[in-house]
Amino acid sequence: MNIISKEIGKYIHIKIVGRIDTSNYEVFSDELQVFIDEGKKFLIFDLEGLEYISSSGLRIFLKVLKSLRAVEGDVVLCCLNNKIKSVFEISGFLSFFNLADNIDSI
Amino acid sequence: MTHNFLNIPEEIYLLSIDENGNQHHSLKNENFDLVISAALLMDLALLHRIDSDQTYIFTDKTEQIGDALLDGVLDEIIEYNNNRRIENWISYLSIHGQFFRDEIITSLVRKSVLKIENEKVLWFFSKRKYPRIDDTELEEVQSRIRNLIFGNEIPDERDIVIVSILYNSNLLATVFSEEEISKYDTRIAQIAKMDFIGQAIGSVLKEYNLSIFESLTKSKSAEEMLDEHVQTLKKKFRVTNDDNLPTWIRKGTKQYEETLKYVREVGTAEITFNPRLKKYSKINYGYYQTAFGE
Repeated sequence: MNIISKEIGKYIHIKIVGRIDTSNYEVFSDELQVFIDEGKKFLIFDLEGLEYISSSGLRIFLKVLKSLRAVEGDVVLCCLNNKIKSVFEISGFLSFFNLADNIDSI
Repeated sequence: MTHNFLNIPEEIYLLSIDENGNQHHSLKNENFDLVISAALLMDLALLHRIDSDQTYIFTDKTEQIGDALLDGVLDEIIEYNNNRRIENWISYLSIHGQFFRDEIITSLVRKSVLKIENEKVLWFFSKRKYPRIDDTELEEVQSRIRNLIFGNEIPDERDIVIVSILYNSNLLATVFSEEEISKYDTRIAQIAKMDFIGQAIGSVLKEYNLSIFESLTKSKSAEEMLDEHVQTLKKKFRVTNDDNLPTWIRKGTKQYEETLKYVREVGTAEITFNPRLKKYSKINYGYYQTAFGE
């Protein structure tokens, strides 16, 4: 898994490439916690390059959404490929997130 | 707070019993074994001991938890050392259903949530019951789940698991009225599908056809009786490879020889084995008859 992040206005744009699975979900969680600890309230996840996500990975997205909404922040899922969109859909997670087809539409 | 005090199977067990300690009528005997097996897997997932996707369960961290029931299941998953479909793990683990139930009741008695009552039937025959001491823990779980469903909050992972089990095993009525189930159906269904193991319970229960054990007579040898029983268990728990059978019913193991000895002793192969206590017992069908008024 590769994570590339940059600031776009009030958002942190986080591009994830590869897999979020049993072997690396904790690393992913720790990296996101850094943004939360720094007081960043708005995150955009660019998931075009995400190839696989396990339940542990999905739970991290939900946890981050819950903690940011609690401080009036938000999470946007952007550029989901069909495979990952289907996982978010089947698991019911999709309905809790704001979605964007591309970065420009945010 | 019930969090960290009761594990998920214990919370589900509490929700499944009435004030006399009898189980909810919609959970027919061995169906409950499947539900508890799934609840154990879901608890292990929350504790990061296993992970899953839509299809498979994988091991995550291998450190023991300090909970006899969860650690027993974790050991079994680690020992298997391979990916197995979620549905197959649920079915496979339910082979220990009676052991799980006994352990849950023992733990809830130890935690002073349930009490032991000996009831006299026909004044000379006594029946043991395990009713709740009071409703504190039950009400805590119920109000937590009700608040979640009636509000718009993003659910936390533990509550997702509880809702998912209740929804997929027809236990919603233990928390909600019929009107509430109908009114909040969309939100309940939305949260219920947020756990892949929870989703699998529904399909396992749907597919599950209770096998009827053939009546065994003492005219059969212990080997024949046990072999028939093992064949039934294999079919029921979807075990296709004998290497995946627990040692107590796997031919060629020392434990299998002990099992044969026990079958000879009690004259029936309808037995179960407690792997922790290394103890055999006859399957207690009387439990089901008592619990479901059959």
